Amino acid sequence: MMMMMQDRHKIPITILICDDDEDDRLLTQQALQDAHIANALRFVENGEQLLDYLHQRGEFAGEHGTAPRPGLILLDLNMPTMDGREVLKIIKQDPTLLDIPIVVLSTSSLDEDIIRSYQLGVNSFITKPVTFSGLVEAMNVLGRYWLEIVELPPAAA
Amino acid sequence: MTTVNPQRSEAVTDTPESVPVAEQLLRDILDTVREPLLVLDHDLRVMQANRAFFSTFRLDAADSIGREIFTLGDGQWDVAPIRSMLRERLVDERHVSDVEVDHVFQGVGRTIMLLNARLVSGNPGGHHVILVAIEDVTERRIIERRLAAQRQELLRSNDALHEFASVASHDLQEPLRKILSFGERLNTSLGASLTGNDKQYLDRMLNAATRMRALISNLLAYSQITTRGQRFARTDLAVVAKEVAAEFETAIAESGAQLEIDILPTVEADAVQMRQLLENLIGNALKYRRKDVALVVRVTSAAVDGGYSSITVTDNGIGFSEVHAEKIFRMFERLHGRAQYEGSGIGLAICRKIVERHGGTIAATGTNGQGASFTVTLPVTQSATGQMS
Repeated sequence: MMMMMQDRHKIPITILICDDDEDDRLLTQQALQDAHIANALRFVENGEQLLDYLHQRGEFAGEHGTAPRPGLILLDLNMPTMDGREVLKIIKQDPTLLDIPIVVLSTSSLDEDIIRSYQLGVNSFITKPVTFSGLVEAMNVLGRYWLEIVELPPAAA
Repeated sequence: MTTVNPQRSEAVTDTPESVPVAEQLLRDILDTVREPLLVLDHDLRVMQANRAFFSTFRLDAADSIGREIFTLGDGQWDVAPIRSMLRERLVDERHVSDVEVDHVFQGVGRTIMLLNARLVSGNPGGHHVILVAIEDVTERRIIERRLAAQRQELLRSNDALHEFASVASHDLQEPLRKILSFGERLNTSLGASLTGNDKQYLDRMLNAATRMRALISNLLAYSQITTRGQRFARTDLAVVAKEVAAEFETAIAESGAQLEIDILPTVEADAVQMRQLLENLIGNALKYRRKDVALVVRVTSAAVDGGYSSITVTDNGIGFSEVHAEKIFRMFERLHGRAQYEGSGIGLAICRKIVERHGGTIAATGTNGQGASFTVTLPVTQSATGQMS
């Protein structure tokens, strides 16, 4: 069982999954589970909700303990109201949020989407594998990468 | 019968005996011209007109000569473009060409005509005359307009088709990916405990979904041949063929097949699509092989007249009956059951569309049970107009 940790004191991070599609949220959750990643997961369904979560406002107001700041965001690109590109831009321009690692997890493999996402400051871009076993494998690598290799920024004060 | 004096300088001199000769010659010339011609004096009265004019516009010669053009046939010629041409433009410019007049003439119907008019001075009386040549383009214009409308409609329906194929392909992939993913998940968690028919049902369901995914991505590839094509550039087909051969290396080795690639030409083409083309043709040759005969696939080429090159992929596989030679290029057309040979029936349709985009042709010949041969003929260079990017 893997657990992605926040810093040297090894506080398990929360993974925030932003995807408008219920099936895809479930599949990502299952894939993380099958990849033995046991971190707490939270879900939001579009860019606006993601910002509300991060700023603990709207439906997340007063949820101080229950809407913990995520240590990693898995972000879909194509979503209604505010899509992944827009919210990515807003987060990476916000000094209080830009240190949260964001990984795009999208069905898109278009060059323009990949280039644009990196220009906006995304940390990684993953095209959703077409098979479930591929998705499990991707989550496996993702988990190992953020757990064993990467030092994440210490928890915000 | 008046004899025509071959010396034209004399024909137009003003000696009494040569005047009738010149006039008769002029009249003969006018009447021989197939298009309506009209000569007006400086007051726009009809001096002369040829037979074609009177017959085309159903006018009586005797009744028309000497009358102002605008009074002809109950004032039918009194229309704005003719009036402005004769009264204004001609005075300023002395000659005008291709004035288009679209008018409904009584007893004649709608007529679209092109007019040329010229002021000719130096008349004996000191006044100029006006020559008007008329070309009836009614039929041509109607055909042109119909063609333009059809072309517009064709472009629109082509666009709609492309859009449909690409949107449908993307949007169809989404639910399919989920069927496959959840199915796979189900197979992982239940696979071992499922027995007999139940296991088979799940397998068949997943196989069908996998086939559909291949079908949709092929359809997407087909719809993108013209919309996402690359620019044409000099492409060495020998290099492309070697890449394709490398790709099939394992399949070739496993089946004990032999792939021979001859000297191939360099053509102006979309390299990515050339690869797709050879992949499909060589891939087909490998797929439709005979079980009891060692497969030999040959890729050869020949120069063709008129700046074309052809490449031919020949195999000694199962072949096909000559009656299907055209049919196999159609979308979703398959000659074999899925149990015998996997396939979506789009591969050769893709080949044909690629070749057509390049301004070439593709043809198949085959003998049932003995082999098939596919010949692609491509222009060596592409004209600028042939490019679609």
